[in-house]
Amino acid sequence: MGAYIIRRIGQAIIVLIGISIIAFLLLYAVPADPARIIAGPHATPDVVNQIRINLGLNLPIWEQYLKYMGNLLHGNLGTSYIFHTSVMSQISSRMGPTAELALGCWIMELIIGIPLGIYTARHANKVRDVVISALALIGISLPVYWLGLLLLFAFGFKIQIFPLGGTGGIYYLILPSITYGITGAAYYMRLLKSTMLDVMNQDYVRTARAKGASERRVIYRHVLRNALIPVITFAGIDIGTLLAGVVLIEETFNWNGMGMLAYQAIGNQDIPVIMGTVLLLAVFVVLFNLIVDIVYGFVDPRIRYD
Amino acid sequence: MSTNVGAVVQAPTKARTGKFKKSLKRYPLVYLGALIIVIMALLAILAPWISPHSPIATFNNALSEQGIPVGPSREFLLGADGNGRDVLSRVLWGGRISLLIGLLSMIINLVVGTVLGLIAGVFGGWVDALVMRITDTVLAFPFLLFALALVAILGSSLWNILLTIGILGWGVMARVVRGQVLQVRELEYVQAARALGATEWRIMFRIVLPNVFGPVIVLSTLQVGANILAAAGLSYLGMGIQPPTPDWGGMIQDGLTTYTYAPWEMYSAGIALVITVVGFNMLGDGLRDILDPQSATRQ
Amino acid sequence: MAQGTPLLEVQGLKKYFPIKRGVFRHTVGHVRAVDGVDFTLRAGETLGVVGESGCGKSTMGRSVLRLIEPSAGNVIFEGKDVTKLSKSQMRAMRREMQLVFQDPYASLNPRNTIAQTLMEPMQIHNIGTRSSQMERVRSLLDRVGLDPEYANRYPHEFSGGQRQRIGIARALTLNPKLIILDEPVAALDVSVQSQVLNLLDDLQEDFNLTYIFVAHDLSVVRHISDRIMVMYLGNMAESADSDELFIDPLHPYTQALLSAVPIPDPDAKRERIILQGDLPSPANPPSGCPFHTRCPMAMDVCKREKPVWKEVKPNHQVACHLY
Repeated sequence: MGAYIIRRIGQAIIVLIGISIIAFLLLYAVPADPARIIAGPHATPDVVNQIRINLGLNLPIWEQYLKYMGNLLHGNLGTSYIFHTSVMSQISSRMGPTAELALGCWIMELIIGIPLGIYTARHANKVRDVVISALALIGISLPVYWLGLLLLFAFGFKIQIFPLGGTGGIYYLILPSITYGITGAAYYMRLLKSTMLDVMNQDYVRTARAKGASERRVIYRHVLRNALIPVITFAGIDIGTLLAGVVLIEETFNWNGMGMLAYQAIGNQDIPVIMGTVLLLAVFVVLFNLIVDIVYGFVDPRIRYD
Repeated sequence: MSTNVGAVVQAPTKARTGKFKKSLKRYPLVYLGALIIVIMALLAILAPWISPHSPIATFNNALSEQGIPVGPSREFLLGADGNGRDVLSRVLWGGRISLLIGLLSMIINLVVGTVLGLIAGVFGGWVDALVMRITDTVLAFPFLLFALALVAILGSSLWNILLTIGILGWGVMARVVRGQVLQVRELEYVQAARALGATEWRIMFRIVLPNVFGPVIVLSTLQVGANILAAAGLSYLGMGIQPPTPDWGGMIQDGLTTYTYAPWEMYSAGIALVITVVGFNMLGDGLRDILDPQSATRQ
Repeated sequence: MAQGTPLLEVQGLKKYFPIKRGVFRHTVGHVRAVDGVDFTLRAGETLGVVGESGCGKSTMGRSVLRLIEPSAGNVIFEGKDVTKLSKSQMRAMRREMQLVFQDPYASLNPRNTIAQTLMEPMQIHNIGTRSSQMERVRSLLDRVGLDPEYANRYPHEFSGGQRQRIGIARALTLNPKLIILDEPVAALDVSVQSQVLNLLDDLQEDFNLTYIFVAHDLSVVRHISDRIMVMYLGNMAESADSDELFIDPLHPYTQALLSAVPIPDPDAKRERIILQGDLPSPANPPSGCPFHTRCPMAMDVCKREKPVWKEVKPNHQVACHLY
């Protein structure tokens, strides 16, 4: 088990280095001239040149990368081109709100998805199952921002029970969470339904039924317990999907998180900020995948020898 | 003898189409999904001929004196947008962009993912390890954010958008193809072919590829929907297709300003987008049921 | 080939599978699936290879064909060392040596018709035109007792016994000299087993085939085999002519296996020898004689020294300290 964990962590580190290289190359090397962007269209060549030297942009790209990574190891993500403040401090003030939002969205997916999964599994192939499954298909096809705007209009503007966006406590969190929950819950529902139906066909569940255990007891004690394992695994991976698309919810609900920060930085072509947010979000994705794999290694020893 | 050879050649195809039709009847999702896609594709292809107006022309009679867009009427069936353009024409033309980006970027996903998945699965060893780490890397990128940044830096042309989505989105495809290859190679009839002296290339093309085909088709179908959503997301965030070129994501963004008093632009574009994506998701789910009967019985 | 000259000579055949552990997946040990096997087989003969599942008999069969690369040893077929052939030479050599699989369900490609499956070997080796290939398919089906009209059907339309006949027909397509039968009847109903065994017997006579017949059940190989080799944990335990082995089994392991074979005579009395304990792991085989942990007659020397392979009676070899 120890070797498995170490190997898995090693892989995660390789992936993170890969991300940093690709992101750095594409963000720093591809644009023709960051110095020109910073200086603006009317700056003299001398000014542009000075900026280039100050930022180390005249160095070969691999040297720039090593410098960046060296700074990164000291917790320094560079300085914003536009605001001239440390990227780290900008990001750290936005991490809390994004974590809050992600957690809210994630919990809402579970709150909607798991009961529907249990319900459709218990009533599989009946009309209610077909109807809910059809709705689920529409749910995963909805653009999260469009649904968000419709809900904002309905429950923020017409019936004013929720704020029209903004960052804050639970009150501000409910609408974006419901929005994301609706578009993401279907995955949990389908997964739970199919694993539950699998488990229901197992001999030990038949045995429990044969013993005369109540349907309720069979479902909650025997079926659900075993069917939830793949759901938990998926939940870990799903956090990655959530963070990858967080910018759309934040923009729609005017939520002041990392997605918004990155979005504004992209508008300003503020490359150190973009690079920092991309890297940090990727770290979280890799971290959650790692946790899932390690937990799974404990639950199911077979995968360790893959 | 020659008649017998003919029978051998023809019989399998006949038997297969017969089975195919039967299974299609059992899986209405496939029919319905395909129907939606065909309708949306036809509307998009025929947009130049069936649009009542030019999608980019502004009409004076589409705005009231206060500058408020007119609602659905005989002249503007789905109403007008804030610039006095015909929403219906823009929705029809917008489908062209969405479907084009969705399909072309899927093809890039497909080619890159399949080739890398096959390489990893077939060669194994350190090649496999390397390809899979690259795949993990691509999968760990905050997809939309990074695509947004790339398009912003490279410029938001149609090609840049579909290349970005194509090149960032092949990870799942590569994983699935690799997994399938590894599974197929362990099958005993692959061993049998090897025992007969078949080359690895022959095994690859005659046995492995046909087995990889099914999951790849399912995934590609679902990927078109996902890519259409991603491209619309980029436009919604202002980094996709630039106005006045009609595009559903851009129309949703555009409709935001007039939403409270003229919501038809946002409804029309959003509903068109949802219907299209539902079509691809339906078809993909339906095909999965056919190709994997085990999951079908669960549904 | 004249009687008496060997068709196949296997010398010191070994297959070790590495066990990889740890962070860098380094090799920490080996599973000794086949740990030194020698035998000689003349054309037209059948060698039965018998042992419990996990004793390495299937791995041995596949190593001879290089479907699994052997770790050591020589496989000399008609005077040529098969283990030294290049990949393309090996592919050409496969025309001469074929394999019939245990599982008639998994070993046929479900997407191909029977005709496609049987034509594949000829396509691989560029033999004949399409119509002559089809002619061959029909005659092969006829030869293995299937209606040639079945050629256009798919594997799922056949029973297990019929599928195994198809598998045998596939092995015959290229007119091989040697066929390795890897538990060819183990997956079949008992009533079908004897039909398939009879077919194999007939085919051997008609085409002067040489068989290596791998089985876990002595009674299955008795009639078809000229010689029988008993394997235990990757090692040879005993080898003798078929009748001799049944009359005078020397190795305690052979005796135990034989005691499990039902005798058709209800008056015959025989003590059933039941082996104690499980088959040890070939990754960590016992010291000395690999069988000593379960042997009813184990002595001290068995734990210390590995018994040598010796000829105790004419044409009857055994690896046991009792002799």
